[in-house]
Amino acid sequence: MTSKRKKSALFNFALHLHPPRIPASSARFTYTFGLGGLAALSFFITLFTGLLLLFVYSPHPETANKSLHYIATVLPFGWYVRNLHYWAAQVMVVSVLLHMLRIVLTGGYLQGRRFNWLIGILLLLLTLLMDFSGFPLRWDQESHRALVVAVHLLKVIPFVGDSIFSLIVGGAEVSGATLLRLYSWHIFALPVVAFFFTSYHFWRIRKDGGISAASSKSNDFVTRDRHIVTEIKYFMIVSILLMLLSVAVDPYLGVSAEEPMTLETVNAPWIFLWIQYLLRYLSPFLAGIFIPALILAFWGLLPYMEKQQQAIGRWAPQARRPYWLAFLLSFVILFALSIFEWRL
Amino acid sequence: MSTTTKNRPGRNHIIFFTLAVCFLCATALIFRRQSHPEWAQWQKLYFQRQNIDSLTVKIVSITPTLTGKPELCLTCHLGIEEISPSHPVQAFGCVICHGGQGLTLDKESAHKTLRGRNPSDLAYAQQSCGTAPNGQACHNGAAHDWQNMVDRVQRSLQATAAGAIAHTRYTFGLQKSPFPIYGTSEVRSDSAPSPDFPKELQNIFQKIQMDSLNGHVNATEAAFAQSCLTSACHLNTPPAQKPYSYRATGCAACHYLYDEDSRYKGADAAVNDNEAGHGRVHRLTTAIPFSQCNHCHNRGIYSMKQMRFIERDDLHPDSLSFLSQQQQRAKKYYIPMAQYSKCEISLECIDCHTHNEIMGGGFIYPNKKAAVEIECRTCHGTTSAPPQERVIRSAEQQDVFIAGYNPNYEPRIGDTVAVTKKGTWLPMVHKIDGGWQQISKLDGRLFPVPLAYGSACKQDPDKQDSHSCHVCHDESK
Repeated sequence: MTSKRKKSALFNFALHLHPPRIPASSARFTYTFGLGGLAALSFFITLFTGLLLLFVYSPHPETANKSLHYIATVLPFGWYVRNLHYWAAQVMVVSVLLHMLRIVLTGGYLQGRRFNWLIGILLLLLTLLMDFSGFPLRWDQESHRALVVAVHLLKVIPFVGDSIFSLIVGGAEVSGATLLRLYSWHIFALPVVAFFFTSYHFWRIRKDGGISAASSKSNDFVTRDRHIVTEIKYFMIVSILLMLLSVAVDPYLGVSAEEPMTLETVNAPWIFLWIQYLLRYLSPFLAGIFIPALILAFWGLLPYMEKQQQAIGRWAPQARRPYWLAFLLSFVILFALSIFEWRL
Repeated sequence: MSTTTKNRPGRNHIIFFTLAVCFLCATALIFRRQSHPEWAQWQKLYFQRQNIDSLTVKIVSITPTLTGKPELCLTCHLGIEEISPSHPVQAFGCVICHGGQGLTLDKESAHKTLRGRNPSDLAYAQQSCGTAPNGQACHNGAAHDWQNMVDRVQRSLQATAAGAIAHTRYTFGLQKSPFPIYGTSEVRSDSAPSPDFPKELQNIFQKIQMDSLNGHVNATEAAFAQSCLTSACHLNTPPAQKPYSYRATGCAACHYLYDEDSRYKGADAAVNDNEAGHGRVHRLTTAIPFSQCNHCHNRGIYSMKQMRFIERDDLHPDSLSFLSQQQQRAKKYYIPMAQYSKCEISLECIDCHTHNEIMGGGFIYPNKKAAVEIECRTCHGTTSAPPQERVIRSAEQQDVFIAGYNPNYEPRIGDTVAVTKKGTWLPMVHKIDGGWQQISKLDGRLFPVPLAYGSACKQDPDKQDSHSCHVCHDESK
């Protein structure tokens, strides 16, 4: 095998993600902020660190929390792997959300890209599910309580609520069976599905004519090689920041849920704080099921509401203002509610 | 601007070089944190203090035979004293008594579910000392009531303060008789030796709280509870935070020895030895010196008029320095003007006072008089009769069994021992070569016991309280 072919084999995957040349306006960092790539990178980091954690974590009520304490304090570099897993997951959630914001603000779902936006919505859902299914694996008192609240919310779904509850909980109450089910979802079912749809999401970008760009007759292009070099730099910077974050800040790990309760207040994972806030004022069905579903439906159907398809490739264009403003507003409201709940 | 063909390898090289350096620095930070865990500092300090040359720090894991679950506590608490020979660390470990998380090296997580600093506090004693998680009876849950120390102690006067509460309330007209209704906590007993003994006590703090909610709280009663019951001398409450008064609560109030300065003097480097409120070393004992009793007893007097405890101010070290050891002991223990006989300042308190008096015999005692069972005649007899005696026929006998907890004396079958008026055996006071001798529970010292029987003593055999004996036998002058 010649060195050239070796190189091409090595970069085969990366090469096929991109077309040979990319419009300069779309390749600009400030156009995408590399958010989709960042989400993918952090997904891969969680997959890799998760794989390492699999060797030690024990999904049993008696041992789950203990094995995490063991990983975090005894196992050499265990703390680092766990911290990296956690922080990469948080970066993944944030970058997925910001990536969506970028798509809406630049009209990235226009001109035949609507279906891929729906795939994106599905990936958001999968990301949140992976995030939430990982949270109770700590099996500490906070996550256990949050889990009990969350699964009981499912019960208020009309007609199928009880069945979904049984499917996830594996019995009448949250128990070891629930832990094992969540574990299987978290380490296998969800990542496999997410991996498949992530690949499909990437493939569709090229299928749909590449990354969205303003229609212009300009001949400014960036070559694929050069673009990949830029991406590698970006990924290195992010990786270094993640490493530093993982050294500096340990994610919370509480007392085993099997111990007598020592908590007074319990918070949902930060991404669901806004639901917790709504639950204070609205019925479980409205706050926990209906409103989240409504928001998701609104986000998913957004590209199907837009009539004009031309104002693409520019940030927050006048012509599309109602759409991106509505989306931005929904974003800001959820963010504000989360902050309220966090401050309470 | 066309960038298709433009390439700037020179600039890229610089950027990649910088990023690689940053990457290496971050990796170095990861390795630094891995090689400097918090627990290592305690081990290093321990080695330094013990003058141990080997500075290899390592994680210390034990798997106690009783729980079978690994514990890492000794990684930080390296060198801590074994709590007692009857609780060997290889069998018990730490978690079975202390609670907490044994399988982490993070201080906060490890300590979060500790049963406080003192697992024998009466709030936790049942969990820590009473019955093991597997149902094994330790100091509670056993077949014989007298083996169930945790229940006994909770009903004892030292825990309930029932007599003090009843008499104070009676004196101030808050109840019609001195029969106890309230204690410092709610307790129940299935049996009572006589109608003078209550079978249950209600919690006086809850009662006062309910009164204040209902708007008719009695000011005297509230002041009494506040000044005399919340910061004073019974097993449920923490001590006054000052020299002499420092002690633990619960079982450890007696069995865990405190120095006057209450500083830790053991080998565990992770215990702050510059902080008041620690026992001398991490050790439980049945050999309890008078100085331990001293942390509560005779620390001052109660003023009914002011409804507060007036602490002694005559114990400044300078005022003690010129006194002999025994004079110091007498002065530290007895308030001025108190009378005491020679045995009261040469023997230890526990040499005479029985387990039934101190820890309670399982009943809820109404007052001190009902609890105390030793008299002068128990050991010395009267002018008309020698001490009441029994012969040990079986090691299964309650008092003999309990005496066996003491390392200084092994009760033997066939020994003739003294008996109190309530029938409690005193195996430490026994007949030898026709005479009587006492073995000190503290250190095994032997004391010959002089008898009133056949001596020149002029006592009235029916007056056996200490005041009557002090008329002649007073060492305080």
